[in-house]
Amino acid sequence: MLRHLRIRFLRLLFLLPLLVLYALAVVPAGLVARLLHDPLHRRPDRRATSYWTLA
Amino acid sequence: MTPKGRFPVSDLILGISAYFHDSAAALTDGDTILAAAQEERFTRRRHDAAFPAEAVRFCLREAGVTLADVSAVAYYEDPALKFRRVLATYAGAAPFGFGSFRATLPGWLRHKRRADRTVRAELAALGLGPVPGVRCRRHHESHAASAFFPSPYESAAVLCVDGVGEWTTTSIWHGRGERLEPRAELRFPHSLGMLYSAFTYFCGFKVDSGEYKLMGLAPYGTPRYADLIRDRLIDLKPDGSFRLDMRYFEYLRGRVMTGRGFDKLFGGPRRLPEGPLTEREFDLAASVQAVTEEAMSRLARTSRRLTGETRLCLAGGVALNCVANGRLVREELFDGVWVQPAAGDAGGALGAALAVAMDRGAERTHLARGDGRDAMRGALLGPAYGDGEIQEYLDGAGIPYTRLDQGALAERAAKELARGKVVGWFQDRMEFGPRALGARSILGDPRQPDMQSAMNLKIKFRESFRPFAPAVLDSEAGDWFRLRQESPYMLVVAEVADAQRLPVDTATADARGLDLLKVARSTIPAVTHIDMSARVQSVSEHANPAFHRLLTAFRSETGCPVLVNTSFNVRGEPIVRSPQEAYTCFMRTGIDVLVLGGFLLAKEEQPAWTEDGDWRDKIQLD
Repeated sequence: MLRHLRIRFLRLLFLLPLLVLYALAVVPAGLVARLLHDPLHRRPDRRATSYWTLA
Repeated sequence: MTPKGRFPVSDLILGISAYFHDSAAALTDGDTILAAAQEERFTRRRHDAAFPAEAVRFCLREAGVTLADVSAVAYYEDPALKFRRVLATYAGAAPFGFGSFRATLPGWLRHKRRADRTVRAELAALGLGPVPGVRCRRHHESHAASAFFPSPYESAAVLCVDGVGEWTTTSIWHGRGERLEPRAELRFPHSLGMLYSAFTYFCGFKVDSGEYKLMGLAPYGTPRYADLIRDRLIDLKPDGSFRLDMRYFEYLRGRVMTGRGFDKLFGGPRRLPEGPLTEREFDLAASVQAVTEEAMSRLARTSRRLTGETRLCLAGGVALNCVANGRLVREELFDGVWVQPAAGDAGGALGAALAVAMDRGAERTHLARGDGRDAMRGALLGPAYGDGEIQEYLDGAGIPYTRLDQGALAERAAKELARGKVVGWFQDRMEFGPRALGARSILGDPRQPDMQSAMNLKIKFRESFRPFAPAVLDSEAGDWFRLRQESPYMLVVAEVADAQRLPVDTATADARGLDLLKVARSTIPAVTHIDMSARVQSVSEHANPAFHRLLTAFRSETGCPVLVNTSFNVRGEPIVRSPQEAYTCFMRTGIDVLVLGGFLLAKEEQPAWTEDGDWRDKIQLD
């Protein structure tokens, strides 16, 4: 039981920094980016004639 | 062939692909591709993504050199740029996607983000000499280099289509001499490879390995969903550029490809792995195949327009779609189409090495020999085992055999094949790339009506709908298939020639789905898919003399210069590499005869095979 709890605690310890990073950096950055412009262009633009990026 | 161990220090380039799927190593001196192999063949882990330590050891051993003789290491992509794309994707998907973020970020921070440093450290740990500088080439440049530099063309349009590299998913290049110039690209998440993988996943197959199965399933269905795919999932422009509607895909957020949007569109949840196949899966396969072929056709036209070239080179995972390749050849948009046999990420190791070699002054006229032949040496670039080594193994294990010279061996094997026996064929250097090309192959008589089902169920232990591919003498390929150009690497599909077709039996004319397997279609039913197509390998004497000799012997015996050629493995395991692995596969399956170099082994003469537990439990299904 103690070992099980220890494992869960260690997992949480490892998870916490990732969660903080995700919540405080990744999510806000993504939301702000999408407000200004969708960098992934997630929907087609049926009016466009081409999607090529030429060299 | 350049003698082993006699290279100027400045010439050798070692290419490496690693950390995502299909790790590999390749070695070139700029004049010749000396060696190349996928790591999975050594570790026996299918699509192994780990650093290719064993493949590197093999490449250096084959050339008789150490790392001290290598002037540079080329890594097949830009890890920092790829990491930025990964972060941008998580940001773009946020607040969803934490599960995937949590699972993958540690690996990125630990070793993938600076893969060049990680590669350097891994090479140093091999203890094979001081490690030269590691240069990163972009992923699509590596694909393009693997497609163009070994091709037989002095100049060509080069089209690379895959899941994704750093950001690029589709790229067009102009190859001329030692130069590759980018012309156009499409970027993630808009990816033909991802589209195909999404349907692979939805139809219950494994992503990055099941795409072939989806392609094989397509002829069983009708493309009744193609319009829906074009209307809702992909906006495909006339110039071949496209954008996916990401509302239907889940791969930005998590570790699955599709979600509820897909389910709703196609009338229900995805098929579960190993579940029963229904008409829906047949039709989905046919539909996405039709859309993919249309996209590839338009991409090829744009490649021609942007470069003005009359020859096309292909690489990237989607270039393994040999049905789409066959359509490109039939359309005769180009005078010639050449596909890199290791078109997936394993070939990136070779491409990166060639790109660096060309930058450092290698002359392509040496690599592309000017005689119309490519520089891939039949894709036989892996390890070989001499008769001495094989005999030592057989004698040490107490395995009975008959030793024959090469001529007698071919005749004996041909007779066995003509009697309906299945032959495991192990010769020469191992193939580089996913296809078996007559060095590590299981062979059968294509004229036998039940050969396909027998080989699928009793030898390969795989799904019954999957077709087998023919190998044919190159000089007679036109009599048996509607092949408009050579196909040495089994990457072009062509229809069976009219002279070999049988009239349709009215009793079976209304057959549907898997019942189509029972319909007799041609004189070579075991390699004729239900739509009369075949994934042809045309075998030349110069590329593979032993296999050519066997086909010639079989033709003399039967009048038929065609054999079933399938890879020497069972479902879920990599193709065999060594005599030991070949013998194990031989004894675990219904293969009747094994040819190992100059030795012939008959199943009935072998001692009883025993091993702990059921071997099938040890192999993860693909």
